[in-house]
Amino acid sequence: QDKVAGLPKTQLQVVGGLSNLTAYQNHEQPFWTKTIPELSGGQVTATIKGFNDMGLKGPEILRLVGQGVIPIGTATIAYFASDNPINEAIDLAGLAPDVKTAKEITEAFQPVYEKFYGKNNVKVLGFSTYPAQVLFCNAQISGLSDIKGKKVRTSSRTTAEFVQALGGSSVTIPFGEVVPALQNGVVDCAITGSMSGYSAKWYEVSTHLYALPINWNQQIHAANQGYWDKLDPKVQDFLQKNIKVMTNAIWEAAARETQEGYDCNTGADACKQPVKGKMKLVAPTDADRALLKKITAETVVPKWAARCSAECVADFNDTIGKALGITAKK
Amino acid sequence: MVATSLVLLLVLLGISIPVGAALGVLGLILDPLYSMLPLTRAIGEVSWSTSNEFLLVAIPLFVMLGEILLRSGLAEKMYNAMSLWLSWLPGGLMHANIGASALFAATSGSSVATAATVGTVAIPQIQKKGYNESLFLGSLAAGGTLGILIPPSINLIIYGVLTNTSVPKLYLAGIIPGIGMAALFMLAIAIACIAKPKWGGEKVSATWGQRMASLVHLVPPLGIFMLVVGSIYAGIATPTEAAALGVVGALILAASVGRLTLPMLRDVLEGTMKATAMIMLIVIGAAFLNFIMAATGLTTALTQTITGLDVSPTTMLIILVVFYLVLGCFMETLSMMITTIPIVAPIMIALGYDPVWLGIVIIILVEVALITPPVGLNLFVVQSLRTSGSMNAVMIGSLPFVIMLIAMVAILAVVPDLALWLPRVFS
Amino acid sequence: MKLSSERYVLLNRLLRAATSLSRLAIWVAGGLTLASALYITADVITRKFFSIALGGSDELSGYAFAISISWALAFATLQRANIRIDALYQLLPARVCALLDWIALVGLAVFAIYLTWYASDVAALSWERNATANTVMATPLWIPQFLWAIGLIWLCVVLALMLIRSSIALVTGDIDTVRAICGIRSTQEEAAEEAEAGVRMVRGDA
Ligand code: NA
Ligand code: NA
Repeated sequence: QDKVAGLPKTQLQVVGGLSNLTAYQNHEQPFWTKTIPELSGGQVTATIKGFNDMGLKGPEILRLVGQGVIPIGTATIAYFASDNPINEAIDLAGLAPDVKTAKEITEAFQPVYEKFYGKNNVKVLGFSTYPAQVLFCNAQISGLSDIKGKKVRTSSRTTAEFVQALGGSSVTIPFGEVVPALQNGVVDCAITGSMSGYSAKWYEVSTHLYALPINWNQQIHAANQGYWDKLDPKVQDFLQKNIKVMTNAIWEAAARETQEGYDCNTGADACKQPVKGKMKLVAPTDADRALLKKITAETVVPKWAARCSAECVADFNDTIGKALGITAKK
Repeated sequence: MVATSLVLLLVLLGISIPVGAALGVLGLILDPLYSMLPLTRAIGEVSWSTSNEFLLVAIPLFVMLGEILLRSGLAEKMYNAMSLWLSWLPGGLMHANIGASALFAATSGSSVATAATVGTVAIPQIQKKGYNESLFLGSLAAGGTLGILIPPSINLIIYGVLTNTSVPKLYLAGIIPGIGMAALFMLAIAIACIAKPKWGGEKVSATWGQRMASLVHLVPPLGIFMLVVGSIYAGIATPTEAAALGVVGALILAASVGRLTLPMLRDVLEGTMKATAMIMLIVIGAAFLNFIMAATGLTTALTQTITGLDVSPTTMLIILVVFYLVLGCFMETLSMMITTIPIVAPIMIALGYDPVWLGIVIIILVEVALITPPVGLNLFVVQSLRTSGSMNAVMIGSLPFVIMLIAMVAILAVVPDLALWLPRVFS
Repeated sequence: MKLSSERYVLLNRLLRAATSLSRLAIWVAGGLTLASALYITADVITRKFFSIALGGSDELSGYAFAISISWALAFATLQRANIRIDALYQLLPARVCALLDWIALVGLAVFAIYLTWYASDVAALSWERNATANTVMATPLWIPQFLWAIGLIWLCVVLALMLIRSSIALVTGDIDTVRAICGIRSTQEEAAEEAEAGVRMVRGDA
């Protein structure tokens, strides 16, 4: 990354992602508080706080960015499914079973989001992701079909529909209650990031880790349009370029961490953490991948298409659909 | 910035603007003062997400549970049973106050409900039996604080929400310190009444036969406890769901003693919602202020001031205790927890303190805040239950119990396992 | 609420009507909470003992909670149930207290107006965008948010009435009325009501 001289003095306020996760701690926070000031020779400085540290829940963030309450913000795009189903498009359950696909479809769909949010006074700066969201089960599980009859903790509509399509029942409970819920059998399985599950010690209360990414929780980095427009064009350029570098780094880290999560929850030698779990790693078979694709194409995507607008479905087919060979019908 | 905000807060509270509104108005003032952004607009979204948080639904449910138990006459019988068992001690019925509070705490999630319930039954005894009014009232205010330490507990739920700590673990951690706290309160009463025997009032004499017969009145509260706390560990329910089970259980109990009538239910609903609305107005005001403080950088300024001290964990713990003692004098407890824990907990946990242990310590400090003037909700509750007299009597009578609460924090610091043993055994 | 001055008949009548309506609202609010308790219990039982759960109890009771709070606020305010700090207050002469009571009401009104304004904004935005909850139930969010905002709007109406009446009382030096409308509840008042409730409890009809 190059140092840029001659930028006007600029002070930015950023609301970052969840502050207890590595994407924030290892990337977002150092990026805004160290990298940006260093590269600009101290001309551009920023303060950052995780949205959870501001007492926010998530689903309100893009509304607040649009209203100018939050000048620059980061949040899980799927949170905004409530405002418009278009926000689920890149993170539908089962759509991206590996990080490469996830990045590909995110980039393919980014122009659609830029156009969509442009109308809401929000400038899209880029996309990154959390590590893969996978199944932790306190139950014998050898493949996707074993979800049948199980109670699974989900945190979004699309994952709930996915679980139901497999014959399981979806349960919503707060993240903090998952450990006792798994332990006591209130739920049999729960979906979360492989590394988040490790940090929250889910390996202590679950036996099987199913290494098939269900979804990703891609992060949108965005700014209030008015706020962005008032920045000096040189600063805009500078930020845009470096945010791209940061988001790429987060994508790479997410891939690494997904694997690290598998390793550490299951006690593999590759795990560098002091404490290792003893979960059984269940690798997906080709049949599982085929089933995943079938469920996604035949249940998850059609259900989503039914609630998104015709334009949104057409945009999906032109971008993600083309890349994956899935056609959504309105 | 920190000083200005603090002064503003004290002024708003000092001129007796309703606490929820004072926190909110402070937010409205700090926004234009320290930020170029239209931060106030967030008040709608922040209050909506706070208002439909499922874990907080436990608040009206626990208040309702307490209201039903109170109006079904069970509290009175339970109190009488306790008085048969405990009032031979020096201090007589005051031990029953503590014992009944501890038992009621096992069915109630709030300190206010506990103090109100036990207080309603006990206060008429002061004059009848010639007790030292001040100490008697203090024992009620202090006993009531056990409501949030002994599970179930609204405040532990809020701590769990704010720090992502497991509420069932926190519940387990509260049991032993809760019982220990009740014992320390009784010790305080005994010491006071041995030193000044005339404070003790008339004792209730009872035969063993009467005592054994009275045990039947302890069954309903223990049944509710099993329903509310047991269902969580049996893997049947989450904490909020357990509160709902408790409400239904209490309704059945009330119906079984013939107290479940339409007018009673109407009073229960009115009382529940009045209390909940007032608590939630504070929660909403605090949530909004919390957002403004974070967005204006006030939170960071505060945190930096604290971490800038660069002191040992033990010193930090002492600072924490002093901080909450001072703050607790002036702030309502829920707003105090909601505004400070997001700042305090990360600092303490980074210093190596266990989040569950810290939760219990903070709850005990919150208990102190409930009975220290000028703002102590339990003082108000006990005061409002009286027919006459100055608030000062309640304040002075609560002092010995404040000392015991602080002693408990010290004991927990030396023997953390008092809190951590049960959660470890059960996991 | 007893108003010592009966000169402002229309205003007093309006306030009484508002109190009746607010009382009705708080019963509905309490009813919602009770319904939540029953539904959650049914959900827990069906989940535990039958293979199929009712489901959605967390989401629905969350909405019921939000609505019940906002609907309860007006009556709680009319009853002067707000938690206020009287450390300084109780040391001051009655005239100053009346002024503080009025300022407290203004403070509450300011906060309530901002809250209501932007809460309505939230509901309106959900309506405009057809926002639905990110759950299987996909509840259209404008419904609970609109009901929630109505409670807050009603609170503002009640506060306006209280403010007009207490301002008149303050200007005309009618301190008793100021206290009756927005004073801190005195021990005597509190005690009278508690005693009343106590009697009813002993009689067993409450
Ligand atoms: Na309790
Ligand atoms: Na206090």
